[in-house]
Amino acid sequence: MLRFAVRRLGSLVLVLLCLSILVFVLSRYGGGDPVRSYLGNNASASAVAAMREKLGLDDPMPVQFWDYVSRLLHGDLGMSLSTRRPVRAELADRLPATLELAIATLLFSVVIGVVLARVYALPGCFGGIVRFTLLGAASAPAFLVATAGVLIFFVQLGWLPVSGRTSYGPSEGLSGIYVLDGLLTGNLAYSWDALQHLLLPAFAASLGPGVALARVLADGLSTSIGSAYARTARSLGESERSVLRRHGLRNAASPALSMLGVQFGMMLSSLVVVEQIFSWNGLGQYLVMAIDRADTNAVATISLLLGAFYVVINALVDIALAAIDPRVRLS
Amino acid sequence: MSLRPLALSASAVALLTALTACSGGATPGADADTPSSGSATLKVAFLGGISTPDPDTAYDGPELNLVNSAYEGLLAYKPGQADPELEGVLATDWSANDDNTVFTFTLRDGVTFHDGTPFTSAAVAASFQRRTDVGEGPSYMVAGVKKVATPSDDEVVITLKYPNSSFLALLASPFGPKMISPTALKEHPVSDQGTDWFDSHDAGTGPYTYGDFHEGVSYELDAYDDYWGTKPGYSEIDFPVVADMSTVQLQMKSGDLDAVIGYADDTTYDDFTQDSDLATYAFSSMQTPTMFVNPQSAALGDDATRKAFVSGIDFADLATSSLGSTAEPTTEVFPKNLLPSDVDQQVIQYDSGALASLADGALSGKTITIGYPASSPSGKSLSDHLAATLNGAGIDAKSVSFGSGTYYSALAKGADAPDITFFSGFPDTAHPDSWGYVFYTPDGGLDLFGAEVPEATKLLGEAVEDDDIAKYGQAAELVSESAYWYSVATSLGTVVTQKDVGGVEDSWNPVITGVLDLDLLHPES
Repeated sequence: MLRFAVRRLGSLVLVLLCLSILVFVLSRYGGGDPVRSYLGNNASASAVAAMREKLGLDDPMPVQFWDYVSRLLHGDLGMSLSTRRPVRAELADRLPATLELAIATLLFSVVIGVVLARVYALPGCFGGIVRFTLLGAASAPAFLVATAGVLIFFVQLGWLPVSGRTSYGPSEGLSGIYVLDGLLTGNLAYSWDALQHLLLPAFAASLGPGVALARVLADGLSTSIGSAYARTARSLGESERSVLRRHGLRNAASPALSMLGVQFGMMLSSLVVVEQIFSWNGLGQYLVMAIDRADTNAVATISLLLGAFYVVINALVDIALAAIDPRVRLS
Repeated sequence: MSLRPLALSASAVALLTALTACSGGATPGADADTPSSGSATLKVAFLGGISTPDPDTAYDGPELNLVNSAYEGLLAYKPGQADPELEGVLATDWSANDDNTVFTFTLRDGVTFHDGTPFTSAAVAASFQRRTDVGEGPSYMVAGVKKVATPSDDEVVITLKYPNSSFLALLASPFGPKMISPTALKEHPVSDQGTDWFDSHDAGTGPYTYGDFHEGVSYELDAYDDYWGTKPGYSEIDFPVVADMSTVQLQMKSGDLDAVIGYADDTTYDDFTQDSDLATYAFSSMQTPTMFVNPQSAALGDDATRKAFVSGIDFADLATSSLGSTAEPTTEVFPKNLLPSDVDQQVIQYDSGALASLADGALSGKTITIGYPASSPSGKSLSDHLAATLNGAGIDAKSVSFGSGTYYSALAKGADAPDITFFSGFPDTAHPDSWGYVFYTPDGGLDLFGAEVPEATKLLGEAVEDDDIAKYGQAAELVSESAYWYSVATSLGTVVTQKDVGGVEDSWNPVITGVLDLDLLHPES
């Protein structure tokens, strides 16, 4: 098991190395020029030329790549040309915001998935209606769910806020995860407010993955509960709950977990859109701005980071799969 | 593993939502620090991120709402009127010698910087030097300064390296040099190492000081108690960053926001005007959406074809249909109010049959690519409408969007660049040189395709020495004749506020849109 985990995480390094090369090549050959965004539209031709030279953008490609890699190895992520702040400072501000949203989204997805899995499996006409509705919900893109959420919960009902992470300004806690910081500092009102801001974006990003998870889990449960080993367990006197827990869920969990790993990648993509809609000051919002302004340092760093997230989550999913299903270890 | 804990979690989430609903804590308009109507705090939206509000690097626009509230220059343009008129800010009197090389200023007495340092002539040279040392976009404004003499604490004599009739206009520019406390300049010298102190702190003399800045999230201005002039109408101005215009609209309608300055395209603006609870304004400016034609275009590079093409476009109709209530059609070459209109008229007249002739002739089988920066709603609208017009006339055309970071490099591709682009530019200040040199000469910076009319370049170079209006007029005529550029409209600076925000009509800038003299705003009684 340990060997499996080490091997899986070891591949992470290789993936990140390939990703860094790809990101560098794309950012340099993408045809962008960040200098205008940096200096302002009205900058003179001479000012633009001087800044290009200062930033090393006229250097030969191998020189630029070496500079990029050596800076990266020294932990220097460079200056963000779209915000004029070090990329490291931007990450320090924005990473916790995205983490908070991603964790909440993951949690919501699992909750939605498990709850709906039971409803999904209902027989008869009602079950058919539920399945049809869920299919519709799953096909709705995150921005549509977000827009619907805003119209219902902000415009019509006035229950939830629509912009930002809190009404009180950034937290004084250490983590930058506002809900947690409020709890850690004993400021429950702050946590409550942050939670209210979190609900709509997290729900918008989690509905699609949650429903997809529900479908896979429902199918898996239905198959495993009706399987020969489940029948054998019943005939040996095990209760229905025990059959569900020990045989049904355990076998149905493998495809569901795999699905969750894949969905996490899609979830990261939807966070980019959701952060934009809800003015959530995270990596997604930063990435949109950085791409528009050809801020190569920022784009490269965020791409690496999101890539690493994805690989790590999937590695963890694989490890979890191996833990619950010995066949994965053997394969 | 059991389903029960997860089902309980789901119930908890549902309960949470219900509690949220019951609490009413986040009801629109009821955020903890949201200003209520008539309060002394104003809440103004920034749409998306802004550049750092350093007075010597700020060169975008929206961040000037911070910079120009905390810093002041020697001169400015009188706000609230379209006709640009110089007014003294930290200078009370000024004069220039005959050949525009020596400028003398009498400085205002009784002014203090926000760090308590008195404002004297010593600050002028130090502030100019910082702008030069920082060396970014606006540094050219002081590049011609040869010497700053300080005969006394309240007098400054600036000598230029060469005659420049636009120098006073540059000092009055919204992007012009600001006076910075010499004490702060000593404590925080220019550095290449990462974040600069001036990115989030100020050391100016303006009516507001920088408050809490949370980059990309919110910015705050606090009234400066010892301000030398009239006290600002709001004691605090908050600028939450909202990423999406739809959200801004919702928050304006719900009262979460008090004002949005600029940003609105014609559809959004028209939507705001329908809301009787909001006050909407559209002020004149020098921002001028302009069509640029690529001189290396395979389709339009030929003089006769290009001129026929430009004559075939009904620009008044294009401006009206594309920009609606956020712009006015123009027949002038330079932006409005830069030159007397009688010497500044387009010479190419509209020919309603020109496009049909081109469709069957020189442009038959060719495709016209129209590029625009994605961040420009006016550029998009103009490009889309022109493409539709051309396709309707039988000329194959497509409208193509470019991100801010790829736009300029796409236009620099010579024959492979788009054939046309629409760009909504503004002069840095209310002087014809700030437009003519920048837009109509290849060295200027915004001559987007690098087109050149050598005689016009020569005339513009001569005109700036002694502010020769006749030469500017001749240059305008040559520019128009060339059909490389066409000024389509005059953009109107839009402002939308809650009805209880007063002073907007006195606070707009005659040069650029999206910026107000915020100290002139006040709660309406």
